[in-house]
Amino acid sequence: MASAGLGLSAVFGPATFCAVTGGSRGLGRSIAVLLAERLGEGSRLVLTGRSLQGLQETKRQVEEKCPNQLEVKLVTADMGDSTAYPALFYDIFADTGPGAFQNALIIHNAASLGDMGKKAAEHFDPEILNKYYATNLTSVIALTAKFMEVFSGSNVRRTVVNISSAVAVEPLRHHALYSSGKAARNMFFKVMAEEEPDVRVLSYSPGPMATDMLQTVRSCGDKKVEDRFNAMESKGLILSPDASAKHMCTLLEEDKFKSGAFLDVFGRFSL
Amino acid sequence: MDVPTLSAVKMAEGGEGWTHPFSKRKSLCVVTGGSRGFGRSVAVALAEEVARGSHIVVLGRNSESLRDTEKLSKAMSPHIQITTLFGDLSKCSVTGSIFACLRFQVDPTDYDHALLVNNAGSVGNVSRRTWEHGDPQELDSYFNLNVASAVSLTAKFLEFVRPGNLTCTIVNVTCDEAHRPMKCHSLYCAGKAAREMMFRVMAQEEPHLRILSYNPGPLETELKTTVMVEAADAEVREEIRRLRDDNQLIDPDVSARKLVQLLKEDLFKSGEIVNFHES
Repeated sequence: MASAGLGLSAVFGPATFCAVTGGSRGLGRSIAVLLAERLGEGSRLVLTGRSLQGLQETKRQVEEKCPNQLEVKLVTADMGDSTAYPALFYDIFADTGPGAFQNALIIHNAASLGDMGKKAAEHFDPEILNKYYATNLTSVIALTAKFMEVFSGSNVRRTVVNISSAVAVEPLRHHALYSSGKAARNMFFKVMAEEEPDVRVLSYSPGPMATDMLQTVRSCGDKKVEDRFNAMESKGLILSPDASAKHMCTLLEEDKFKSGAFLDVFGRFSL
Repeated sequence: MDVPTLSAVKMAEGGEGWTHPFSKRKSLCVVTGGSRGFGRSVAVALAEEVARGSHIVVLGRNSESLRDTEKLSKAMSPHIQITTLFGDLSKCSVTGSIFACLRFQVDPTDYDHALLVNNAGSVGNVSRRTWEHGDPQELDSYFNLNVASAVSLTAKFLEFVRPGNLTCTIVNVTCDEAHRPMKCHSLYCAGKAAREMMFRVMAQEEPHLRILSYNPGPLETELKTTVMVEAADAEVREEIRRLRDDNQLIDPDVSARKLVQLLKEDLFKSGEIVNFHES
């Protein structure tokens, strides 16, 4: 659905509010830096993450690329602590009164892998499972609800991006928690796209990237998982997070995707 | 050249006829969400098929309704044991206490086959749209009941039956909404998608287990009535009303018998999703 047809400004026009969760390193940092270059005058970039140091480094890189143009706000957050959500959401969305922004964009990037040493049939403790889904699923749903509440009304062009994974549709050993959480998110956002046709909803699988997260996956101790990523590496399929972030930004700018679609960096899925 | 059917191959492998999990082998079955609806139908359908000396444990949240499930199951076969356990799987402590309780009543070494049917679940608040699910405690409670409890219960069940060295089958009751987005069903879709994926991973990791995600079809149960009345979207309410009026809602007893038939035949590929409507 082309934005021009709606008579609204482009995705990254002036006065854009943009929140990126998990912005302290990896893909979140790459997304923040790339988006920052595209955000117009009067925009604000809010970065959340667990590491203040990491967030500050991301901010430094953003400001290096776009000095003085952009307001960058840092919010340290542990998405697994639902008691902290009211304060966290308040910080993220402070000073977003009516008319403050023309566009609003949220990138749900923060994620955890869970205990990769456990197989699915070894997840005995529901408290640990619940903590995982709180961090990776509940927080995303609740944060999206707040985002929609804050930017309700047809004057603001809203975009929601769910950073997903190929394992949302392809089961992979040792990824029980991660793949089930991603599968859940994909479906949640498909329903959202059906219910809210005025919101642009994208689930994006960034592909295997050279990040700390991939390192953790590759050292999970399972030879089949190791072999899989070794094969990908030998074929040059391990991407830099910058390259994947760039592809995501292109998808958003072109704005041709069907709302609710699940798109993969390699173009393998279009679900 | 005629390609032999899978059943013919299995017959050849087994000798005169292959032994399906229920034939002459004592089964220990656990069914969750068995107070009513599909869970009750499954308990009763299993009672009809399992061998003498088998044991069916039914877990539910309504003591009175559990007693009715027990009566109906016992009426199917006086030669099996039925145990009902009251428990609310939306509470974390329940999965642990189920097996703490069963340890006093059940010795897994008495059985040949173990079956767990993960049926308990809820549809969530269908009067809410996706962006109205802002209460994290409600969300946590929802995913606890619909995802975490099924996973931890399965892990604990497998640990419980391990000393018996039994063949094990795990069933995950799923639905169309695990793949088909449906308005007002954001939590239900998310939870079912998570479960299906969890059990697909489990099937990859545990080749000795038999894991089936069974889609019973749209059932004529209280769950559907709730949606028909409470869903925020008129189209959703209308779709269910139309299914009901066109007699396309399936009798849960019929669907449960189909599930038991699939388990008897034991031809499904582990991790597979099978629908009621598939022949």
